[in-house]
Amino acid sequence: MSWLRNMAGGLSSLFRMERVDRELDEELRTYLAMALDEKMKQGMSRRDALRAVRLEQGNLETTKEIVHAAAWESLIETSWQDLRFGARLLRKNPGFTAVAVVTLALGIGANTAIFDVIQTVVLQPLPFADPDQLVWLNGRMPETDEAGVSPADFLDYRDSNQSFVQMAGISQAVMAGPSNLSADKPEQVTTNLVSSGFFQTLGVPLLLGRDFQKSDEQVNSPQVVTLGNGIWKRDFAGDRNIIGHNITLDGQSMTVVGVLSTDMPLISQAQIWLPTPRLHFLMQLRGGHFLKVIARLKRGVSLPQAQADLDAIAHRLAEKYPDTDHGWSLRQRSLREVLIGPVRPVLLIIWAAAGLLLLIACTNIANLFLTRSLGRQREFAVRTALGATRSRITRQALAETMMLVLAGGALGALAASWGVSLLRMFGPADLPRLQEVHVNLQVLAFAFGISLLTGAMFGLIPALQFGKAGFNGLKESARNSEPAAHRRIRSSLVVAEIAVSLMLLVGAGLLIRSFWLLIHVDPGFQTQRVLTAQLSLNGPSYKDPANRVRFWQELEERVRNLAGVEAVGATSELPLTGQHSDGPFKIPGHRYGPSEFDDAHYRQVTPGYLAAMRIPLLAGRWLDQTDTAKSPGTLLVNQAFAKRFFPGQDVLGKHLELLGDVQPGREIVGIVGNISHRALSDPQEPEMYVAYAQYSPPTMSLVLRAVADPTTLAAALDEAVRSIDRNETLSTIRPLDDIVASSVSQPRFASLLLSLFAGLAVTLAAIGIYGVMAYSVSQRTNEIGIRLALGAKRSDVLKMVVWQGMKLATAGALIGIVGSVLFGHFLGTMLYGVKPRDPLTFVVVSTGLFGVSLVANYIAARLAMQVDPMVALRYE
Amino acid sequence: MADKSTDLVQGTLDMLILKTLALEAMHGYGLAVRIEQMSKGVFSVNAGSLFVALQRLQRAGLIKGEWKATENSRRAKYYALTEPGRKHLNSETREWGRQVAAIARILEAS
Repeated sequence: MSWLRNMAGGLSSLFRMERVDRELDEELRTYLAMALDEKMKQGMSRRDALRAVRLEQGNLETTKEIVHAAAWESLIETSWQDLRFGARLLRKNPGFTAVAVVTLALGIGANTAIFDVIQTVVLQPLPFADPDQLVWLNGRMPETDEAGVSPADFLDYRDSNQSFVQMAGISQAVMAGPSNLSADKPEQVTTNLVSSGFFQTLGVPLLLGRDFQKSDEQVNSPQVVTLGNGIWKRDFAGDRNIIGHNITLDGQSMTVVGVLSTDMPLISQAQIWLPTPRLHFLMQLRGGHFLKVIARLKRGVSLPQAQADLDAIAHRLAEKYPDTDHGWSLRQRSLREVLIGPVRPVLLIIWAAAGLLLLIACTNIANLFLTRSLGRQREFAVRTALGATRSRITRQALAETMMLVLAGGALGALAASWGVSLLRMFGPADLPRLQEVHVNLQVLAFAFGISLLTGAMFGLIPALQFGKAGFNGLKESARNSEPAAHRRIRSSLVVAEIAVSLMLLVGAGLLIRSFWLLIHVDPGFQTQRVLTAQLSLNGPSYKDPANRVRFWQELEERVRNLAGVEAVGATSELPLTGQHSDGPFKIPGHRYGPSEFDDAHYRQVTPGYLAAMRIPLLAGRWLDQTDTAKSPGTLLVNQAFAKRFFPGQDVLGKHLELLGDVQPGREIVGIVGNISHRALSDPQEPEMYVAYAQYSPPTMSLVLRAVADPTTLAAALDEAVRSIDRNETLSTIRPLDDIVASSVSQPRFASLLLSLFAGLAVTLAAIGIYGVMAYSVSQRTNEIGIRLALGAKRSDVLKMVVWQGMKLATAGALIGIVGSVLFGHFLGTMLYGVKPRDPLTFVVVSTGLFGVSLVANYIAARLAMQVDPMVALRYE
Repeated sequence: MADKSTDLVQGTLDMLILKTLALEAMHGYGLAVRIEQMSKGVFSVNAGSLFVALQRLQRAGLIKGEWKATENSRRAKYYALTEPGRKHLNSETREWGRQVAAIARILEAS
């Protein structure tokens, strides 16, 4: 227990520092006085005695220091002294301190902010119970493995598998529509159909009420609903007695049976959840693959085991229903992979870029410190001569760097929290969980950790360097010469800095070029001055398609007559919004195997749509008012369609049989231009357009081309809708430009951040080059003075200094180019239209970096030119 | 400033101090002189090591200090053995005896 007493003793003396000090002082004084008395008693003179005592016992202060240092609490005390000394030094060099702290804050802030995003999005488990057991099931057939699952198949998989605790399906709003939550102000809500046990499968608890049961599914249209947490709080004022009450959706009364404890933006934007109506004809399809399926693995069942189980079921289904199920199976992936996988590479690349930025920041500060440590060699030497131990000096140097690093870290954490707010505001909307990102304890610990690591990286160098120089620092000649090892370190730091900057620049350059190409892709339609809005006709009076057609005819008529409207039309699927549907068809006369067919994008349009979008007609005629429910079936195809399915033939007049179509066959009456439908970067695919009058889905998107700014027409547009039917209302009104812009928000985000980091990196590298060159020039004042005195021209000296710096820049650039070539392929998947070894990018970036280093070098060299030869020589 | 004569084995100084204080309470200088006298000049103690040892023993609770006036009417801190200190000294002395005997046996054997 003696360590405990020692501890207590140390602590108590720490708090009574002065008294302890005084006591020790007095004790030692008495001791020496007694020794003196003794000597004098032996007959020495006072002077001799004093001298003898000093010789024997040493200096009083030194003794005190020894006794002091022997106690552990002195470590704390001296550390405190070190910190105060460090703070004083930093205050005395505000320029140095500011540059170092800001540099550090940039590096640490960028890393912390990005780490924050990575932690929330990539590292954190999904917000579901036991999320690692959750898998996502996709329909797979030879052409694609991204399809959905047909409802009838789903039931077979659900009921006959051995591998899953639970399996649940979700369908994007087969029956979505405007809700009439309050009669006077209709509001469009997003709904989802889910099979029984859906919430339980995910492990999302209900706040009130119960999960959907199998009995809820035995209907033709849903009778019960579960409210999402958000809409419950907003529209139902968080009423805890809501269970059992009725609400009206699409004019149909439904009973609330549950309220969710949270919304699930990761899975769906749904505000209201309905059970899948098993008796609805769509829900009985085996051929329509529109369900998404989520399942929870049984404990101890591996993914391959589960896959074997699913494959066996698929095999049985294919035998039993060859027409619809031949060639189909299920593909399973972990839910996490499906939700997070697509964004992981982007985030990791950005993180790597932030890491490189921090590396450059550290290199710069290491350089600053090295420069300064040279000036302090004498200080260290003097202190050593006066009795400071090496560990004490190292400790002091460390204390100073730690102060700097912690200041940088604190500022960096602050910068990170701003950064995170900015990321949340401007980050891509399709980045999952972005809104959950916030600075937390773990993130602060991360910032602190990398700060310490950073400090250790550069803080020890000067102190260790001193260890080699030792007492030589006291010699007069030491003042003007830098040790060769020092110079080598500094030079290689600059080379490394330039190399890393170049790599960052190449990465940013490639992304910018790819982004530029992407946004300059011709999508096949004109995006300017176009407003879009969605409208679902689900009310009871629109059960009859003829009413829907009439509504749209009337709406288009009214909108066309609004002032400032150039053209108007509507489509079932807007490009670049994720809305998408495929139409299976057969070409009469072609041979097809069982359950074989062709496939192309398929959408319904009103007569004005293609013109409003400025999609060009290349041959034949537009769809128009003559294409009605009673007239013969017609359709338009695009160029890609003609090329794929009728290569080298005249397409006009050819016939197609669409599967499940009301018309026995459709004649191709026109060819239109290709458009980018799924993504700007996607190759333009075969497409078919059918007149709305001949096939009329309830949900359509209106497209309005205005003469000027289209957003000013939003109110008039809504009024036009309400004037036809007061119960209908538009939703998601947004300009087409916005839709296009947000479809490339991820590449924009990546190229923006990487450019920002690369820009900072180049700035830091330029400061680094300048610092090193300015310092080496100041070291060579003498030499330059002599050269000038001997008749060298100023321009020669200028060339000499600049050349010396450019050698470093060249070496760095070469290494950077090699590095970029080696690591470029990591960017490969994020690039569009550019190769990772794009020569143009490499040339532009290297030239730019060279220019920057040349400027930094030149400014440093100009300093050298201000040397007056006589002053330089006298200085010695 | 190193000890003039034989360097003290680590920990030995502590024992010498405890032994000396077992006879009577003493101040720092007195201790130094007494140890030198008793060892007939073999050990000499400098102030630095002495006060480090005193601080250590005091922290360990083996001795305690008290300010008193000396015969020459100076103020000095007198150190005295505590009860744990006395026990510690006894056990250390026994241990020391055993070790010395063992070392002696080894040396004689060769």
